[in-house]
Amino acid sequence: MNILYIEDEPDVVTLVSMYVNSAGHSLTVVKDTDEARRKFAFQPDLVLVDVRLRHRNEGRDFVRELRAQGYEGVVVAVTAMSSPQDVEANYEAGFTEVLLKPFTIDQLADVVARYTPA
Amino acid sequence: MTASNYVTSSDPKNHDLAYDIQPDLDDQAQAYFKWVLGFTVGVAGVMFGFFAVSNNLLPVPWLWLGLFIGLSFFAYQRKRLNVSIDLYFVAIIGVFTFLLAEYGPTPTQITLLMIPIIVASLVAKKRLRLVTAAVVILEVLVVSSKLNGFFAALPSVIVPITINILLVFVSQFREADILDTVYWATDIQKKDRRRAESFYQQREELNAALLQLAHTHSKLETINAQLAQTNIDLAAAREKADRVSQAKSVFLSNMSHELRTPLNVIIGYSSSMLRMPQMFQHVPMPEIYKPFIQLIEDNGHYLVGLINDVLDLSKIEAGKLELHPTNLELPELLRGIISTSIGLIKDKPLTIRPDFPDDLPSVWADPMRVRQVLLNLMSNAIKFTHTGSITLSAQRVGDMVSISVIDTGIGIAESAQRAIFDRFQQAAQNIEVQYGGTGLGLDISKQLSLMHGGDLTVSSVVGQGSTFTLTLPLAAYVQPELEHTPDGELAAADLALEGSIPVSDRNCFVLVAEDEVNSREFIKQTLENNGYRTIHTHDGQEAVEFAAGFLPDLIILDAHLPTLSGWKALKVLKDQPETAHIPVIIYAAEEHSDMAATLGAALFIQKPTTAELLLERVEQITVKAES
Repeated sequence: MNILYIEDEPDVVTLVSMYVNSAGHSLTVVKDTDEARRKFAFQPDLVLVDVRLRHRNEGRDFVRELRAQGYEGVVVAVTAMSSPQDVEANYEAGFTEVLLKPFTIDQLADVVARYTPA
Repeated sequence: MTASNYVTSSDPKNHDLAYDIQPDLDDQAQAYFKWVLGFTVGVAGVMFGFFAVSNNLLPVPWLWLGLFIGLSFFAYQRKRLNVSIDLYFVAIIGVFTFLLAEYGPTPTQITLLMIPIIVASLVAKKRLRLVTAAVVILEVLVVSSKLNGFFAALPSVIVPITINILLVFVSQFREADILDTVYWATDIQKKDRRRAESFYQQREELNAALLQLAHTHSKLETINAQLAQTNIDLAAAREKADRVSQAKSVFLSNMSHELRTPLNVIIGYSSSMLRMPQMFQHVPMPEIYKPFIQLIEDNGHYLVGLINDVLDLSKIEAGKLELHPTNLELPELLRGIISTSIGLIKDKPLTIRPDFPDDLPSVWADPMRVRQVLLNLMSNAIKFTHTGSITLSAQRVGDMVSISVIDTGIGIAESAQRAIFDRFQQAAQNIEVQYGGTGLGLDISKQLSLMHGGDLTVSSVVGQGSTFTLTLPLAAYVQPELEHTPDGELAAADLALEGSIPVSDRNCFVLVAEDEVNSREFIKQTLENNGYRTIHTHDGQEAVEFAAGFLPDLIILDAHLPTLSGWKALKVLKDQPETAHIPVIIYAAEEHSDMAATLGAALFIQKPTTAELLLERVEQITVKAES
């Protein structure tokens, strides 16, 4: 499975990539949504998006844009913005699921497993 | 105004005048009569002396006069005024009769005859006056005609007789004594003077009052200006406070975000090392590291919990924590709590026992927050219980469901039980060292319970264990239409009290000031379902402003409101003249009915309350206000 991960925290990127690789998936990591748009052509099976990028809620705009273009794939928010209002706003913007930071490796594994095609 | 009007008038406006003056007149008349008597005795004496000296003594008329005047004086002394007057006229008329008989009706004699008539008109009553006049005139006529022949005498007596008759006529037509007129006139003048004096006095007083008023007015204007300034200052202060509060919540939210990212690294890697060996190419980790890696992960989770607590607390303080209550089925939630709690026991010799029926009625609560409170209670119980059991029990108690976490742990001393829900308090310093924790959890749990319209209480015996009990209102009492019938209107009508005003006929406007969302919804729903119109606010200051702006028929104030507490708001409402008349119900979790009454509240309702009780109280007040 091809996974696209938009994240600007290198330590978290390392953690996720260690797990994803060990689980036998391939991971493409980008630092912001501009780069993500360029890489999107390779059609990922799962998109993980950090919402807060470059001090803006860039991830939220990105998923809104994807949904507006008719993209129906799984897009999971991976974010430390934990207030109920933020969670709600993320679902409203079009995220399939919200994985709150800090997450345990079990929670990450659970999300990846859930959206891995059989 | 004429004299007759004055004396006989039944005009109520003059009545008091007549009433005032009449007794004075009698007194005055008596005094004058006394003088007349004295004067007559004097005249009689002088005449007697004069005739005696001139050796032309004519004793009979003067003896007559002396005798009857003496009798009259005697009667006067005996307070027989009428008799005295009658005797006086007998005396005086007799004297004139003798004089007439002796000297003939010369013009001088006849003119003298006017004296008794004038005196009679001054002091005598109507009847006596007439008799006097008739006797005198008759005498004059008889005596004159005897001496000179009737017709010869007529020219010389006609003028005095006419004058006499005129005098009698005048006094008869007036139907009052001449003196009356005199005294009436002087009295009117006195009265007028008195009135004028009192008028001037009133004018002085009025002027003084006007001056005082102007002074007060200028004072009020000063106060108003000060108030306006205070309002501006308050608005500025409030704006500043809002900005600070806004900045604080932005800061806290950013801080939370910034703390979570490094925590993700700590929790993420420690959990990976413990449970995801494939990430490390299956290189085995030495067993001796494992408990410490576990400690890193546990403390990471603890820090996350702490961040959540601090955020919750700051939201509760700012009145910004929102509940999302629903019809909550407890058995499912409680089973979830138990399975999560089992994971927290680890290797302690503890059993967790469920003790609740499957048909528990649903409660009106926010599932996330109920879970938060119960998990806090369970994790505390597990933390402070080394061996034995923890029981999670629930049952319906009246309009509430009571959920208890009963442990067999170290217990809490009675003196510490009161402080246990206070911020940052743990029962003792060494407990914090031994068991960890900040003591925020119970404070938040208590606040959340109160926000639900429920409560959180503790009972404990040191060494035997503790029981924490959370109460939550039944959904049926908060949202009756959900429970009773699918038709909300019907349910609302059912709930309306017997004999109350029909739902559609009410025209009662209620201001509900309550910051706890579900409690506010409960009050609003209950009132609106029963035909009341409502407006609501979550803020004390806003409640005061709304009250002055909307002038509702009734205000329901929660005792604990942000910006301005319900108690302070009540005081402001009662101090403001435009809102002082509006009845206020104070609504609080603690019993404070005395304080409510002292501050001018119409009623005090203790939380939690039922829809029936609330309606009954509201109706009681609004009906009273209408009548």
